[in-house]
Amino acid sequence: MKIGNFEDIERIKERGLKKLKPEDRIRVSVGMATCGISVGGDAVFDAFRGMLGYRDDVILTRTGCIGFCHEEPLVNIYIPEKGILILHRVQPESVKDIVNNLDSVETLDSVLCQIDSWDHLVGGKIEYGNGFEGIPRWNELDFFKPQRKLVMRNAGIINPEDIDEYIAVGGYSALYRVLKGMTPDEVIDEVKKSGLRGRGGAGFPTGVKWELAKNEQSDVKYVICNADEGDPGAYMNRNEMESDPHSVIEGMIIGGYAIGAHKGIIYIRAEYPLALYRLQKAINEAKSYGLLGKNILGSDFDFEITISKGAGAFVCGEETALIASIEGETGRPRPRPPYPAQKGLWGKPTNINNVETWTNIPLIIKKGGEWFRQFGNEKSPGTKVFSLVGKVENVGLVEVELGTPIRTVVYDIGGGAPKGRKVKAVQTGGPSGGCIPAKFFDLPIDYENLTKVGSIMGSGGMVVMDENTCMVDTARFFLDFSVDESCGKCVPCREGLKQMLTMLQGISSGEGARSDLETLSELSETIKTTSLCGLGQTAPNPVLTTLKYFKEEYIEHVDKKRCRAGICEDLVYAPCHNSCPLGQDAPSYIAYIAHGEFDRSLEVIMRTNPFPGILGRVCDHPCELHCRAGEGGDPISIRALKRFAADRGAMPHIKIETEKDKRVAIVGSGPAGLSAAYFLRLKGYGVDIFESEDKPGGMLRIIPDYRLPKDVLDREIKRIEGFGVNIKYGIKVGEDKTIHELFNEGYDALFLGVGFRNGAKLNIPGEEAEGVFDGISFLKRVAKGEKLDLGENIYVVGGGNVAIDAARTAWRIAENANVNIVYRRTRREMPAIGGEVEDALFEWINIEFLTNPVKIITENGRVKAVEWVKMKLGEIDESGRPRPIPIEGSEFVTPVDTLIVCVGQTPDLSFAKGVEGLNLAGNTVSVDLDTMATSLKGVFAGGDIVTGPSTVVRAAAAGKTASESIDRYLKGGELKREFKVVFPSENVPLLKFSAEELKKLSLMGRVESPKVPLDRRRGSFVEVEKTLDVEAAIVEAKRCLRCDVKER
Amino acid sequence: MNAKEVQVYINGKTYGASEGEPLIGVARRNGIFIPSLCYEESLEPYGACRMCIVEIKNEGVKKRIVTSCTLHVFDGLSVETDSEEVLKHRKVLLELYLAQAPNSSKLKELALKYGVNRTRFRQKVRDNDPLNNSCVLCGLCVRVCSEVMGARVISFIGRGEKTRVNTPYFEQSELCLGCRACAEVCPTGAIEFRDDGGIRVAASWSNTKVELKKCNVCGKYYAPVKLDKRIDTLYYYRDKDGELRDMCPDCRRKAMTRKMTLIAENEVEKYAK
Repeated sequence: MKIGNFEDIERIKERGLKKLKPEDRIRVSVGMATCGISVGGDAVFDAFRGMLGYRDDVILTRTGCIGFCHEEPLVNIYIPEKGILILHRVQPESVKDIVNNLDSVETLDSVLCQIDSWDHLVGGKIEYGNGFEGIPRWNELDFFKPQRKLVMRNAGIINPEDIDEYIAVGGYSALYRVLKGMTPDEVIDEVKKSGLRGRGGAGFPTGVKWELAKNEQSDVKYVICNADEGDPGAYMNRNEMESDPHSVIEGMIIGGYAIGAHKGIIYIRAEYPLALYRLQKAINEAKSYGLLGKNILGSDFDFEITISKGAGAFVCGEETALIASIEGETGRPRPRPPYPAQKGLWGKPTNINNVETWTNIPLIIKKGGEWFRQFGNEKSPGTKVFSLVGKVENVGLVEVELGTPIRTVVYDIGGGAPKGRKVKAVQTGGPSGGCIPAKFFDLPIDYENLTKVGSIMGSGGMVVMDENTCMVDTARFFLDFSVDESCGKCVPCREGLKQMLTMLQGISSGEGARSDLETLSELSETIKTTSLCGLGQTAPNPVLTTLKYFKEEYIEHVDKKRCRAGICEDLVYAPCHNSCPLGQDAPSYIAYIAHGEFDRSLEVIMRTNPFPGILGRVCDHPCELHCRAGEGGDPISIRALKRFAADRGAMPHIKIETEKDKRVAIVGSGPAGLSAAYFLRLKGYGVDIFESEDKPGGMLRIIPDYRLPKDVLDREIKRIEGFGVNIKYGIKVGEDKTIHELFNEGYDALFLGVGFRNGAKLNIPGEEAEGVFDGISFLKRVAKGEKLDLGENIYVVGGGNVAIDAARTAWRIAENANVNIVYRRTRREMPAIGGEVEDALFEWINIEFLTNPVKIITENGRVKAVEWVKMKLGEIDESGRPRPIPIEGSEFVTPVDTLIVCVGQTPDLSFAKGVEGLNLAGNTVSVDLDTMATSLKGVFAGGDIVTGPSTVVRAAAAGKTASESIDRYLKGGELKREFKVVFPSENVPLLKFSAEELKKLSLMGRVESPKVPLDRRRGSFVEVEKTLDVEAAIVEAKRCLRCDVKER
Repeated sequence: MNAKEVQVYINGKTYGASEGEPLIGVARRNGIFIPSLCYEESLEPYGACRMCIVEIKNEGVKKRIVTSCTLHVFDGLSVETDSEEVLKHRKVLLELYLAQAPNSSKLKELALKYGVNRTRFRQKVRDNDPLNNSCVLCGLCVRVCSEVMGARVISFIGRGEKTRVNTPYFEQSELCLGCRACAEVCPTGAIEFRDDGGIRVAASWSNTKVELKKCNVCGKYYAPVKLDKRIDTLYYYRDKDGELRDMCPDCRRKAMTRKMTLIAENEVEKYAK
């Protein structure tokens, strides 16, 4: 049937609506775009077909992807009068359950959200029903809330293989309007008015482009749809074609009419078979309705569309190469001018637009250019679909208005990086784009802004990178792609990129030199300036931007032979070892546990760890964050295994080198001081520690007993003393003795391992009242055994480890009190160890986020209540976190009996008093971080006094580094540290597993340390975590992927 | 169609040109040196070697670097051929070339002209390279073979940095005329031909062999048979009885001279009578 008039369209529309929204039948549509099929959408569809085949009260269809690819396979279930329910992660096995419960499908666990009405824009809003109770609407989900669906107006709702449904949601009505009453100039005017810019990436105004092609005099003209989408990690065009192919076709017909072309070509890569199939089907259906072919809709306009399949060369996305490819030539770009608008395909005027540009056209014609301009910003109106991929929780296709900040896309929609890691950068525009570091995340996404920071919009790929991404490797990856895809015509792109790749490979394998970095940027500039086409002109962008924003990572690779993300294979033998500040050979000691050789395991640990019992309990384990087993499943419980070895293994025999006649004085017996003492003593030096308190341990001693029992602490320190380290108590360096006096006493070198031992103040009124503590002194007093009366309402201010320790301690002491933590940012920004926060929540400690104290209200000199204010997150500050801003008028008061302030710590700098030549940086000592040497000869420093409050393992590592440079210093050699690529210290054989065992291990989750039940924790300081038992430890150790073994 | 006469400024001096012609042609006509490896007047501009870059310095226009072979001149165009920016990029390009084609002495000469005597980049050396590690893939040989000679013997093989030029599948070609046009246009002297008795061997092109024609008079091999067939002596020399065929250019010249002399003598005699 050919459509000739408006009545025909109305008739088809009615028919389509009956399919889309049947009055008396349930409609099940399975998400079957490529993303859905790849995770089993077709199997789900088959399962539904098997179960529903005989039922005539249910319609089963396919649909495209609504964008939430992370939750695929999605199934839409339409229930008449109620609306559409979206089920997520549906597996074939669960289909039976769904079919049996079709009447009460809203009670299923797999319900994600509902759609009661959907604005199809072109055809207006369709009310699908009155809604289901208690189920969130689709746009109430975090993933969809900030989105604006213009291009994806029909995706995931209609059946893309049925033209009736497209017409039902207003399809081809824009074409009808154009052919029945608009001149080509009016069409172009409307597009110009909309301000639509090319969505292929360059952002050239579409209307202007059309006008150029229209003004060319020629009997034959062409319009081309560029569907050669090839950026790694970008697939929005694919989905647009798979989920709503008619939009593309309608846009092209309108474009053809506007410029006077009668032939359209869709250039699509053959590796998109589903898109190809659906496009071809859509073309055939459109033809049968008279929407393509001769005299479209009864007018005198003829238009044909054919599909031209490309072999998948990236460069064929460049318009002149694309034309060459359609003509049957090698896909190589040609010099411009002449531009395709003048001399394009077969030498005729040609207009090329991206899929997404075409998809926008029907909308602009139907709703008007003015309407379109309300979205996006002044220079970049409308929306853009991004494929959000990489290290982000919610992977999917995201359509946002242009001008939306990157932050919204990455955090609000994407949910940030998985496993609580920090997002480092995003790459937009694929291999032609650049890496945008997190500090620019407030940047509104539009063409100009992205260019400003060295990236490009591109066709919409957005790859998120977190701490586990190496920026050198990222640059190398994209460059590798560009080298592979370079056509080889012009020399800068062909030879230059290859040379850049060679250099980057050198850098990532530790063979780079500083001069390479300069050569890289010089070469990049030349390639950008002199390349023939867009591929070469943009290919250095990933390198240039990473060099600009992450230069320190390059320098680390070159100078320190270190890849902090643990990715560059030649520099990193295992990511756990690589991320350990102490450089613990984790794969080896874990492997020994798997072999059942616990003593050898402890021996390996003790080589680089002075107190495994302590670190096995309180380490913040960066190793587990980087563990490769954690990429697809759970990371190995490395800390628990270390503790197991420390508690189980027999103390190894540790050899002390021959006694040397040099002596070292160490100030402070905290983790940094103890670590320096231990390693110096093993080298044979005489070591004395000066401790101002009467007990050793420094900040270790204020860690509450439930995390680190005092007997463990004392045992570990005793052991260090056992090697011949003397600890002198009650001597405060700076007051009782000066640094100079120590040297005069015959010490040859000095190590400052002083902590940040005073709590910082809030500086608000009423802070001096009784019942207000700072976290450090609170913990210190509890540790000394003081009995404190805390009252009923306990509030802890802060989000760090001290805050959590204080809260959990208070919760234990005051058995009937309610304990609250108040933090001014959100959970994501909390600096405390994740596991500790979870434990606190488990202990029913309430955490109030985005709240800050304003005033302490006192009565008779005692705290009575606190006035709080709610906060909101603002722009990113120097710490890389969003700045909290008070919300005016949101103040409120709660009764408070005890307020514990844990908002930071300050050091006691009295040791530096009167010492000339010791450089300070604010309230820390400035050192050369490679050697820990201060500006004063023979004086070294490490730990909190250098970095500010940090973790135990970092302090211990600083002590270890300092001990090595003190050794070099005392031997009279070069102080400078030499960096080498590190290899495993042991060669532990691999265990043999049977296939069955291997399968079991690979499916297993991680073994956690057993914990004391909740009812035994309150009122007691019993250690919460227990040592793993032997069997559990061995199984957990067997799960290790053994990254250290390179060849099998 | 006569193009409009326009004026362009090259390095500050004014030159006349016809609108739309490539700038490199205007410059060369006026004795201004712009280096290039892939430009040849008889061929369409190709824009691959990027050596002919110049800087557009028109007022009010953003300064930019373009290749002069694809720069169509317009009235008032102002360019600088050796600006600081141009030289900077040209030197880097030369370094890339030196790394790509380390054996070409012509290239080294050009590089020296710009003070480039070494390359920071890793040299790309292939063992047994038929083009003697001198090819820079400018495409002149490929284009002259197809666009001018119409033979299409050689073409690009592969793509990206693995691109090479040779006969299809590295097999001897039956299409080669043996004209040596490719070797003639090659800017780096990479293409090797060898005449071996009656056979011309295109050593670079998979040892493609072409039969040579022997001169009837002096016995010298003078041209490939296939090319010789194309020489229309009747048209060029009014050689009605075909006696100039099968002669080498030297002998033909001699024969022509003899013929002319004879004609002249006849004329003189006629006049004298």
